[in-house]
Amino acid sequence: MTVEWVHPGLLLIAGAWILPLIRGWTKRAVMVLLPALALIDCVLMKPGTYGVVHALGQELVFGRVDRLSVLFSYVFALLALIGMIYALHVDDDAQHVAALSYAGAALGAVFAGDFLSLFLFWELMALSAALIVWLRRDRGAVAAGFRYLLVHLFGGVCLLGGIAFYWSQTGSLTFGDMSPHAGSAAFTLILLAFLLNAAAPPLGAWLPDAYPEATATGAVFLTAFTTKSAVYALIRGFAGTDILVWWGAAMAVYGVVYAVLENDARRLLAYHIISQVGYMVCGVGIGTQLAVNGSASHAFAHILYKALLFMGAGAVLQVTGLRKLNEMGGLYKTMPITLALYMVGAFAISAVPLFSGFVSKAMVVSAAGESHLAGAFLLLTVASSGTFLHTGLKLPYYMFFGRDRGLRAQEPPSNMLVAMGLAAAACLGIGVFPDLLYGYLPYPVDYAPYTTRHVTATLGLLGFTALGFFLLLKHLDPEPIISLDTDWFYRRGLSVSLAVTQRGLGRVEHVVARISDAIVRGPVLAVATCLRELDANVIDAAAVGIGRLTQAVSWRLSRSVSGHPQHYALVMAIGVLVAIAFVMFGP
Amino acid sequence: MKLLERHLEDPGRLLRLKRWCYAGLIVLAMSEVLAPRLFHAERAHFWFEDLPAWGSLYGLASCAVIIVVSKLLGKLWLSRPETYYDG
Amino acid sequence: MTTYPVLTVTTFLPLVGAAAIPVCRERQARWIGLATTLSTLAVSSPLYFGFDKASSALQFVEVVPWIPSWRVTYAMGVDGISLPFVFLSTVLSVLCIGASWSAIQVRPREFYTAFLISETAMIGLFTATNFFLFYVFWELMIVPMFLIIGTWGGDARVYAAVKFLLFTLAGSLLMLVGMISLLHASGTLDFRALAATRLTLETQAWLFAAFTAAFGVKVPMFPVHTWLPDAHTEAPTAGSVILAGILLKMGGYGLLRIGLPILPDAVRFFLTPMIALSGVAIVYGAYVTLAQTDVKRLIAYSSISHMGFVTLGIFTLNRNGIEGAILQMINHGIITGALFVCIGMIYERTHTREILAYGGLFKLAPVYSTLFAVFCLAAIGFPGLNAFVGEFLIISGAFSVWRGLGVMAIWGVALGTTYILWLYARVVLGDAGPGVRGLRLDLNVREVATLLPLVILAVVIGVYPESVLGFLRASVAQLLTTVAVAHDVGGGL
Repeated sequence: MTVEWVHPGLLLIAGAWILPLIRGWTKRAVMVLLPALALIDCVLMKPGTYGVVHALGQELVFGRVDRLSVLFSYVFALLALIGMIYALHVDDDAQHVAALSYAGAALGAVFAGDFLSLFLFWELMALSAALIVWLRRDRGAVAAGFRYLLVHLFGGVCLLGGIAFYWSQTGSLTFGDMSPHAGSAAFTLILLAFLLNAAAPPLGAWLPDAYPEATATGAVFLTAFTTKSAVYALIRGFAGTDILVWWGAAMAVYGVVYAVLENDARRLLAYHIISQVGYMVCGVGIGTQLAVNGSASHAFAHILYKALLFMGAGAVLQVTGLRKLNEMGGLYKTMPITLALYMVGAFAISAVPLFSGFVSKAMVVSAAGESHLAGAFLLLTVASSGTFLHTGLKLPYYMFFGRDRGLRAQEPPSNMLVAMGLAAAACLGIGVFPDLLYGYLPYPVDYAPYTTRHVTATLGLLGFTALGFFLLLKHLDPEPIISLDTDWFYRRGLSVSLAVTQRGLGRVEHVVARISDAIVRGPVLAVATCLRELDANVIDAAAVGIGRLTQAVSWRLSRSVSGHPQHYALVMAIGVLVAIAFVMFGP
Repeated sequence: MKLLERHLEDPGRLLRLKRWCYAGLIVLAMSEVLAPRLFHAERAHFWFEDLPAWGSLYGLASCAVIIVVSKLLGKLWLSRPETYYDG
Repeated sequence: MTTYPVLTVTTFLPLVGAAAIPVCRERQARWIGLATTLSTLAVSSPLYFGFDKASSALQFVEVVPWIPSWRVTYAMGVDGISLPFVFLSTVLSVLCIGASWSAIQVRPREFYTAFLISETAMIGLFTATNFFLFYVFWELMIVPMFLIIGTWGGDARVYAAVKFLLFTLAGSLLMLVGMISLLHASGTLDFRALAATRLTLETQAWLFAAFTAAFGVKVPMFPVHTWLPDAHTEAPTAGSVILAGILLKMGGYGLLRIGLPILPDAVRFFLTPMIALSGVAIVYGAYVTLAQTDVKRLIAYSSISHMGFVTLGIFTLNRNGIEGAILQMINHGIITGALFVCIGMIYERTHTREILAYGGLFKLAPVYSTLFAVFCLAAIGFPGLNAFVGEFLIISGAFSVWRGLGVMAIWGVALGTTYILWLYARVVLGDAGPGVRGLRLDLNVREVATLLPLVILAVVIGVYPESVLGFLRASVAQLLTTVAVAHDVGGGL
């Protein structure tokens, strides 16, 4: 029996459960083998529609394979592989199962051809990601994971509402371009749900809240899947939605602004995720073929270099136990390889020529240019400057250089370095040979990133940003503070509103209970009391009265019995005469 | 990394490094102005892209604006002590 | 064809068991209870295997004339709508015995006798095909429940039991009056025959008011719901499971069996207020649930919200809504029953129901935490588990009627997610609370065996809802033609 198509996501989700059953070298091998098999599966796939299941009277499509979904599946599977290599030293089976389930669910979402299967994998992603956060097992992580799950399940409910609306309006569940339904409730709800997963402000505060709380190895997985599957979903359904241009550009700047204030290394990087996803969302909004190609390629490149950056910060965390910038410094002496690999990622994200970020970000910005969106173009360029400022300058400066605090450190375990090396190689490879990536983009590519104008402008931008950084260095010293974000609403705001609700509704419920008590118990008890009175005073009294009367009569009668026979004979005679009269003259 | 250490620790070497960097920046700015003229450059999308050394200037300006605006936002509104949510 | 009258045996076998218990020793009571409920389940199995899913007629019919002068017959039968409830009753009864095994120490004989009598009443109610028999079983249910709550319950048990009694009796008195007037108006008490008669709108309206009062108290609908939190909270675990799992469904079943087919014009006349009350129940119930600090009370109030979903589904009068409502009643029975069993197991060890006293069960009782997580996910409506399908069907049905209803339903789901997650976080995550420190908490084999069938049911129905929906389809279609409303738009199943 030939198998037409194996779902790579199900391969990971089901295969993950083998891990708790084996140990030692076999386990390590399987940990790497599973995502490798998934990657091979993705590479060998042919376009088409597979995995069609009939349920609830609808067709559920689990395997929609076309250029767009396959592109995302490559990078998801590749990242699962890199992430598992990075996590080889971790001895916690639960983390591996959660990570592989998360990756598998993301693959499932990418191949979903209808809304219901998309929803299934959406929720599974939320649950497994929350598990990953929880599995650091300390109080901060538990609370952050709970908030993550709360926000994402809310997003899931939003999505469910949109799906239900869509089903009732169109009668079908196919997940495709939503522009014919623009402006309807279904459109809005589904868009909001996708944007929530893409961490678009004001819905995105969960990202910088939760990602730094995960383990060093868990966070690598987290950076890739939720936001990029949301980008995929936006490309699939909402390409060309104008509002996304401005939303994306705002996102790009928002992330950069918050990153200036950040003290926690991984939270800073998390805000940069929001910034980079802003580029992708903006590209989706522009909607031209170049823009969509740009979003997709930027997503591809971003997964790899962001993972590299988190791996670097995670390595520092692993070796020194530190996460806050104001406590780090001077590590370049003892962790040079980590530094070098980290800088590859930093250059990639900053779009330095010869790195992957340059060839992908260029497309989006050029698309903005070609569509004559000057505002978006300028905002995105500001964000580019800001990105280099934080990720390429501030973070490595305070982490690796800066004030030497005499920290004893060494290079992290070799599996972490290997994983980082793989990601760095990919970043360089795509940068130097952009056609490696361009060949897989959804639309045919007619774009050359290495033009004179572009290269020189970018180099100038980056160089003078560096100048600005060093001139204003003293203003950037990290302080032990946090910044308020929209998560305030459900961290503080919720308890306030909850207290109000509780008191108010508690009173309402109290009143309703008293009323229904009064209506039901009141009359019943009143009637019961009445009847008891009746019983005691009337009926009972009547019964007692009759008893007394009978007693009196019988007493009288007993008095009338005298004992003389002539009285008895007289009474008998009168009685007989009365009876005869009655018979003769009666009725 | 001994190379790097030597350059960063020694103040003399550090000063020389800084001078080389400034020189490099000037080269970058010049190349930005000259290269599109010397080599074939594609049409610019917007008018401001034709400003001389616009990338360099915009980079410096963006960097400064971002830092200033963000710090202001932080001081006036967003920054809180680390233990803010723990209560 | 089976060689014995399946329905009669299924209904009265528990009664036989109940008769056997008083003469045995105290320690044997629970074993007899277990044996009886398991046999009942076994004896009822031909119902599921022999059921013709394509037919909407009554099956396994047994008719015996009883009181001819009053035109009363003993008639039993099941169709697609009643069969899932029979299944739920038999299964939950077995699991209740398992949950009460070590929890009932005082007067076990009386407890299991009362319990088995209530099982007879439950099954009889769902298999009765005329009103008289329905009423008899309805009334029969009340006394054992009153005893169970009042004798083996918590601290405020007498108050809760009396409240339960008064509310239910008030309703059933109205039902009696309604039943007699129905007999006068149409001359028969058989459900099928009644569905075929057509009464005047005025008659229907009064009857509807009377019956809705009775069924509305049971469901419970807002604002006659206030007996439920006390009853559920004070009852022992088995009592809470039966109350939440079956008793509430009797109200919904009554609406489907009596309200819709016999009084269709009145239903359409009162449609708006009924739907409004359902919407209020969903949202109000969810909000009040958020404010609870007692674990059982929280789950009890959540039942108000979930049953609001059910009545909403029923009153959408379209296929998705009604199929979703019936499925959701089964789901709710499974999930809420499971949640009460879980809470009961911890209560047996900690003797407190305050949520603030819990916490940190993840380290102390990992097996329990995992099972509890499954049921919490099911309660949220996580896809792949049973409640998702029911909720989705009801929401689509509601959208076909009015957008706003769909929004209220979705809002209810969102709130439900919040309070269940909050409950789970408080009970399982974090540090160990004052009530649980130092206790041996994890589950023994019997307790896992009690919960496992519920997990299996939740997953099977979630992944393969056709297993239940297949039975319903024909009968719901027939019900809809009786109510004579056009089928729903937008795809359907």
